[in-house]
Amino acid sequence: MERRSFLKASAALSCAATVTGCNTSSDKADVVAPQAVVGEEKQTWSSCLVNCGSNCPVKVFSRDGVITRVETDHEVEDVYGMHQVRACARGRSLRQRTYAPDRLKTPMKRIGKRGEGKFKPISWEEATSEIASKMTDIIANYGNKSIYRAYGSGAYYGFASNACFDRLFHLAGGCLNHFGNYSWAQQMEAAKHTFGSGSTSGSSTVTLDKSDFLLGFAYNPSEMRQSGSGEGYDYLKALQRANGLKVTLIDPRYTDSMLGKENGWLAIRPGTDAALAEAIAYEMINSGWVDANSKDFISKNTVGYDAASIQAQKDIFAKSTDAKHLEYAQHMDPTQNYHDYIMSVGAFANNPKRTPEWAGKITGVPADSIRNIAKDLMAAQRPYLIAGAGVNRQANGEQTVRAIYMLGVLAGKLGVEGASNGELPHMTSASRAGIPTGANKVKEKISFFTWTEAIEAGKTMTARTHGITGTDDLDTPLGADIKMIVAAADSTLLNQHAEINNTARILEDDTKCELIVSCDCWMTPGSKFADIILPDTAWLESDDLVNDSYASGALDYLTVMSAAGEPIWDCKSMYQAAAMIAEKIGKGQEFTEGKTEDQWREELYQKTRAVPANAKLEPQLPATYKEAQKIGFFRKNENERFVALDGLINGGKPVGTPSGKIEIYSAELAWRAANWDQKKWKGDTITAIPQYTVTWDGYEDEDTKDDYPLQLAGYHTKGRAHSSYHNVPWLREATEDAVWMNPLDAQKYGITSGDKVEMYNERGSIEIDVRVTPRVAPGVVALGEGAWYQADPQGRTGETGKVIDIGGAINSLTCYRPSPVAKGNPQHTNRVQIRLAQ
Amino acid sequence: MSENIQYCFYIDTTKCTGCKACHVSCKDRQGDIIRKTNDPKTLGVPALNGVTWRRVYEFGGGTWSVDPNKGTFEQDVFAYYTSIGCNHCSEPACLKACPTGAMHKRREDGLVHVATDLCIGCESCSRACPYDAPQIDRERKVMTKCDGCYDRLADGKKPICVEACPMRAIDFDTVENIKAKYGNGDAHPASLPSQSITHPNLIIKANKNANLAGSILNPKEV
Repeated sequence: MERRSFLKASAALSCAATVTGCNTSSDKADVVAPQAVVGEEKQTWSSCLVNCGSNCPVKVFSRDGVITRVETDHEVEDVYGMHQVRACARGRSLRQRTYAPDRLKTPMKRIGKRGEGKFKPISWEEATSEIASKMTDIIANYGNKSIYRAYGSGAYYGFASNACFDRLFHLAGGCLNHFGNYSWAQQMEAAKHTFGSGSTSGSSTVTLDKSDFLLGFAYNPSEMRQSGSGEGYDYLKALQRANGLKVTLIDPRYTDSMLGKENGWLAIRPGTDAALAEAIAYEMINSGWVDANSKDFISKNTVGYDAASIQAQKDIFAKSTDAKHLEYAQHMDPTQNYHDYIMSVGAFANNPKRTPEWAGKITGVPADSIRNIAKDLMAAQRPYLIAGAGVNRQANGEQTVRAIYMLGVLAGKLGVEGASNGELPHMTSASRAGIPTGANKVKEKISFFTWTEAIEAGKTMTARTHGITGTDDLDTPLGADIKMIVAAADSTLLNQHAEINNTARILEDDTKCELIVSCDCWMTPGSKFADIILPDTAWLESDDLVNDSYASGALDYLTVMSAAGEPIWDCKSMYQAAAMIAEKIGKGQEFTEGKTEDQWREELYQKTRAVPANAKLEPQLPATYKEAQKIGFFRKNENERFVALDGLINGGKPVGTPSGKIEIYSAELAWRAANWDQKKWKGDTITAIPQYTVTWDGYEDEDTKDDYPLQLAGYHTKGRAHSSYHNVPWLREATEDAVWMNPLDAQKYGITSGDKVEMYNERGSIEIDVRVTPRVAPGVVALGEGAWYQADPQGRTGETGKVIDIGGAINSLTCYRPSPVAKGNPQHTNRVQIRLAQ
Repeated sequence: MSENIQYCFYIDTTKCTGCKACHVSCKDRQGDIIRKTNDPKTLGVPALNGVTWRRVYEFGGGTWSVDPNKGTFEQDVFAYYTSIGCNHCSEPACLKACPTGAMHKRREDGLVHVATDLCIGCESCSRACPYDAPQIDRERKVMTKCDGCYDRLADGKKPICVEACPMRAIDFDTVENIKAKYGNGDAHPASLPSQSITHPNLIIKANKNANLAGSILNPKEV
C-alpha cells in the first residue's frame, strides 16, 4: 500500500474525533464532519420557475424528505438539438434557497406600522378569514376595480400559480387588471406600431448561422438567458456554425455575449441608441444607397418613408368605412416623413443634420465606426438586426426601439433566412395547461407600471392621461383607487418597481391601500409592507406541471414536478391559500369545483397531453399524471427556423398594423400624438415616425447633468433572476454586487476597486462597493438589478436626505415616470452622483 | 495498469461565459463532504464562504480614451473567463510545500487529495499553489480542495462541474482520452501561471484574446 493511501485509511477512523476537536472554537452549530447517511436516497424532478426566460428542470436528491443535493438533466446523450437541459448557477443553488433562514414559516399579521416589518404569527384560519372579511368590505365600499393582484413573475407554476388569486378575484366579482410588463412594455408598443407584432417575432436565434452580419443593440443572451438549453446556448452554437458572420455589438458594457465572440464592441451612452440609428440611416440614405438598392422594397412593404407613401395611405383611410381609419386620416401629415426627418429637409429643415459626427457627440461612438456599421449593413446580404430589451426600458424607449427597427427596413433584406427585423427572436415552447382563472367582469386595465399612481389617483386616471384601456372613451376615468393588493410570488410590490422611496411613501399610508397581502416563500423587502403574510411552498416541495418558459431556445420541454418532501414549516401552496379565502367568502365550491388537488393536476395534465404538438415529446407522455411524475422530464425540438416578416415579404400577407404594411409612419401614433396628454416632463412626446428624443435624466439632459454627472445603467446580473435568488449566500459570493466604474472615472473620483460609495440622486441613496473595470463606458456606471432593498437600520440619510439603502437596490435610484406610449417603466434612465461612503 | 491513470481537465475559454454554474454546483456537492447538512431545516445549508473548490477567473484589460472635442470613445477592451478547480498537477507545488504529508497525490488516479487528520491548517500549500486550488476551511481549521469528484468517477460519472456546465466548456477524463478528443491544446492564456511551475493536467482551448496583457477583474469572486 502506498504511504498516502495507508495514512488516509487510518485517517478515516480518527477523522470525526479530530474534527470535533477543532470545532470548539467555532461559533457555528453545523461545523462538524459529515455523518454516516441513513435512509435511501430518493430522486425527484422539480424545476426552477423564475422569470429569466427558461424554466430548467432540476433533479432533486433527498433522504427521508430532506434534500441532499440538486443536479440537472442528464437523461439523454448530450447531442445538440435534443440536448441536455442544464440549469445555470441559480438552479444549482436551490437547496440553499429552499432551506434559507428567511423562509416564511407561518402566516403572519402586521403589528407595527406598515413597512416596519413587525409581525406576529397567526393561524391559516385567522389569516384567510381576515383577508376574506376585509376583501368583502373593500369590494362593498369601493367596488371590484379597487382590488388588484400585483404583477408577480417569481414562480411560473402551471397549477398552483398566482393565477389562483385571479381565479379567487374573478369569483368575487372581478378585479382591476393590467396590460404590459416590466420587461418589454415599450418595445411591445414599438413593434405593434411598426410590424403589427408583439416584439418577439424576430427570426429564430438558430438562423443566425445563415447570417453574414449581426448588429445587436443591447443584445446580451449570454447573461440574460443562462440556461444550458436557452437562447444563450443557441446563440453560442449558431455563432460556432456560422460561416463569415461579422458580429457588431453595441452596449454600454462589454458583456459576456462578447468575450472574443464579437468582431467589434461599440460602447454607447445609455439611451442614445436612437441617435446612432439615425446616423446610420443618414449614411444609407445620403450616400444614395437606399435609392439604388432598397427603395423598391421600401415602397412595396412600408408606409412613411416619404411624403407620397403617407399621402397614399391617408387617402386609403379617408375612403374607409372604419371610424378609426377615418380618424387616422384626419391626423396623418405627409410632411412628417422619415426621409425628410433623417435628411433634415422639408418640415425638419431646422434640425441638425443626422451625420455620424452629430451622433458621435451624443452616443460616444466615433463617426468612422458609425460609417463602418452603415457600410457593413449595406454590404450584408442577410443582416440580423436585434434590439435587446435594455434599450426599451428608457424614458422614451418606444422611440429608441422604433429607431433601431428602421435599420432593418432600410437595408431591405427582410424575409431572407439569416436576416431579422430587430425584434427579439421568435421562440417555441411546449404547451401546458394552467389553472383556469374564469372571466373577469372588470374590463378596465391600467398599465402594469401605474399601480402606485392608481393607489393615490385611480379615480381620475383616464385613457388620455394614463393610457387606461376598457373605459368608454378618452376622458372616462377609471373611477376607483386601488384599495387591496395581493402580491404573490411578486417583488414589484417594492423592490422591482421604480423609485422605492416613492413606493414606500404610498404603501406606508394604510388609509390609501387598505389591505396588502403578500404570499411568498421568503421575507422579501415587499413582504415587509404586507398586512398579512402567507407562506408559500417552495418549488422543490411542490407537485406541479410546468413548461420551458418564453425564451428557452429551440428545444421545448415539460417538467412534471414532484415534491421531494412535505412542505417545511406551516407553508401552503398558492392554490391552497386562495381556496381557503374562497371558502370564507362563500365561493369554496366554485373555486375547487369539488376537485382534489390530485384531480386538478390530472385534469391539467390530460389537457396538456391532448395538445397535438405534445405528441412529439420524448419520452411520450404516459397515460396519467402520476406516471408522468415518475419520468419527470420530456423534450422535443420543433426545429423551427422562423424568419421575421416572412408572411408579408414573401407571401404578401398583411401584418397587424392599420395599413397592413410595415409602418415607418404609424397612423395610430399620429392619432395618439394628437389626442393623448404629453409633456408632463422632458421627452414625454409621441411622434408618428421614430425620432431621437432628449429626455429627463438622459445624456443630453442639461437640467441634471451637473448635479448628477454619471449615467446609471441597470443590467441583469448572473447571480439572480431579477430579485429572485438574492437571498442565497452561494450566489452572493459567486457574483459580486458592485457598481461598475470605468478607470477614467475612478481616477477622476479618486476611487479604487473595493471602495464603498454612496450613489445617489434626488430619489434616493444606496451604499455599494465599486468595481473599477474597463468593461463599462466612461461616464456610465452599471449596477446589477434586483438586490434587496434594506433601509439603514440606524436610519442614516444620504446626500439628498433620503434614507440610505444599504441593500443596494437600483430602484432606490430609478424614477416613477411612465413612458409616453406604453406608460411603461424607464428604469434604465438614471443620472447619479457618487461620493465615498461617509 | 490502474497506477498509470492520470486525470486531466479540459477548459474551452472560447465558450465559457463566466456563469458560475460550475462554482455553485461544486459548492452544493462540497458542502456534503466538509459539513454536516442532515438538518438543513433548522441549520440552513452552510454558506462555506471563502471555501471555493472551483473558481471562475474573469481576466481582462484594455485602455480607454475620450476625445475631448468629439465626445467619442476609443478603446481596445477585452475579457474572458477561465474556470479552474485543481489541475491535479504532475508536479504539485502544494504537495512539496506540505510539512506533514497531508497533501498527497493518489497513485491510482493522480488526484491530489488532503488527508484532513494530518493537516495542521498551516496553509503552506495554498501559498504555494499558483492556481489557488487549496482552500482553507477556517472554521474546521483544515485545508480542503477539489477532490476530482472521485466518488462520481467511481459511478462512471464526470465531475459535477463538467456535467453542470451550461455551455459545455469543461471536460474531464484521463490525459490520454482528453488529448485524443481535443489534441494537446493551446498555450495557457495570460490568466494562468506558466505550466512549467507545476505541470498541470489542464488542456486549454484558448480564447482569441488569450495573449493580451490584463488582470483579474473579479478578485472578490475567486
